[in-house]
Amino acid sequence: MILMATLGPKASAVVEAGRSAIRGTDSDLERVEAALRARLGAAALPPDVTAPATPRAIGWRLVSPAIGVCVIGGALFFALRPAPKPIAQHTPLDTQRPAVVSSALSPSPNEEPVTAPEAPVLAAEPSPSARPVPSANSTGTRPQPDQLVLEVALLSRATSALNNGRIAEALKALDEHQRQFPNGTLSEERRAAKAQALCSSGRIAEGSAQLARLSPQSPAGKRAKQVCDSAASPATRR
Amino acid sequence: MKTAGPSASATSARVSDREKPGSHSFPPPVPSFKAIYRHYFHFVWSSAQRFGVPPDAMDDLVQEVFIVIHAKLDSLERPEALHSWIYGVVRRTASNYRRALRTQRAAGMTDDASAEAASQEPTPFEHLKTNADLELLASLLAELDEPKREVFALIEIDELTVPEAAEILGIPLNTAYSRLRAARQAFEAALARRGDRSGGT
Repeated sequence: MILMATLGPKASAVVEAGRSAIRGTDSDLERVEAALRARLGAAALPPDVTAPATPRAIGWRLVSPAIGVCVIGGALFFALRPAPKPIAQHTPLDTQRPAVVSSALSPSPNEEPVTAPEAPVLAAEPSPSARPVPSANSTGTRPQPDQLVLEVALLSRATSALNNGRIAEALKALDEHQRQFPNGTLSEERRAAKAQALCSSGRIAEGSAQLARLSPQSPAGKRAKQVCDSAASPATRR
Repeated sequence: MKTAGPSASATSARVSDREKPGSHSFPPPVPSFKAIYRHYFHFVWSSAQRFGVPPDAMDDLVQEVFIVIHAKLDSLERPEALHSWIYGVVRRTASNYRRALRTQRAAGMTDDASAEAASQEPTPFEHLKTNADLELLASLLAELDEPKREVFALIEIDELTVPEAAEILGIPLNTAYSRLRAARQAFEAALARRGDRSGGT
């Protein structure tokens, strides 16, 4: 690595200001994405799954406040009514009241988006709108190294080793990817490559376990299945 | 609608029919189109602006870039060079756009105001001088000679790495580093001169 002087603060600020001024906005991203989806189809650019308002969730939205009102009303009724033993009887209600009120105001657990542990890779990726977008007058530092490029480089090393029969080296690179990018954009590809590596080295059961975690419809999953099926077939094993 | 009309050969240098049916070789991992779109949208957008695409043509051009990427993705030979490949697609698409517009203009098919800006050869930020920050940056870049400006813009503005810039420009890595060093010095000197001038007036 050649070390060299970077731009001074003033020059960096000029460059960053200019760069920010030509950067697209999130609304640009969404508008162009919608147009591309219309041209290429939803299969190419599937819309984000953003916790659709299911009938059950809608029902809870309507029912929860009603329950909250009833519970609070009941609590108030018991709190305000003349009681023969105020302190001893009221202690549990007093401690529960804040919890009842806060649960009535906070979203029902049923309204939270449900994400499967092995959700599609893109679901694990933060949405662009969630990412910080530098403002036009931002003078922030340069972005982090391109994660996607790093992922690709690591998996390329693994697949290259795999294609050359260096299974141990491939598995090492795949483990490294898993360590660095457990929920990376290429997690599916990593699992597929691992399944292939394991099946190719005769560890069919382990390879099949990896295969089970893959979407059978994904290109990577189909490819890996082909390899594992071939490795497991009697003709190949003979 | 203005379309960039990307040529089929534009990206052929980086793609091949490497995946043979029935072959068990494992192709390098290629991110999904959606992941690429989300990841590189802002990069594509700002690069296109820098290539002189006028604001009213940005949506169409950026769409064309991603349509080319979508079409070529399955046969991408070197996913590890994705960033520079995408940059190349933007550059060629913008160039095709300008060429198409020049042709239309010569044939009298358009008198659109954007034709004026787009008919120029790449002049960084030429049409964007509506913003003081951009105007300053453009005027400082204009003081660099072409080879230095190219390297500087790729690395400092488009945020490519030096190896990526070297690959795009087809120059040795050491040359890219030395040009970048010289470009940074020239840029700093131009900025200092600007400060002296504005301080003296």
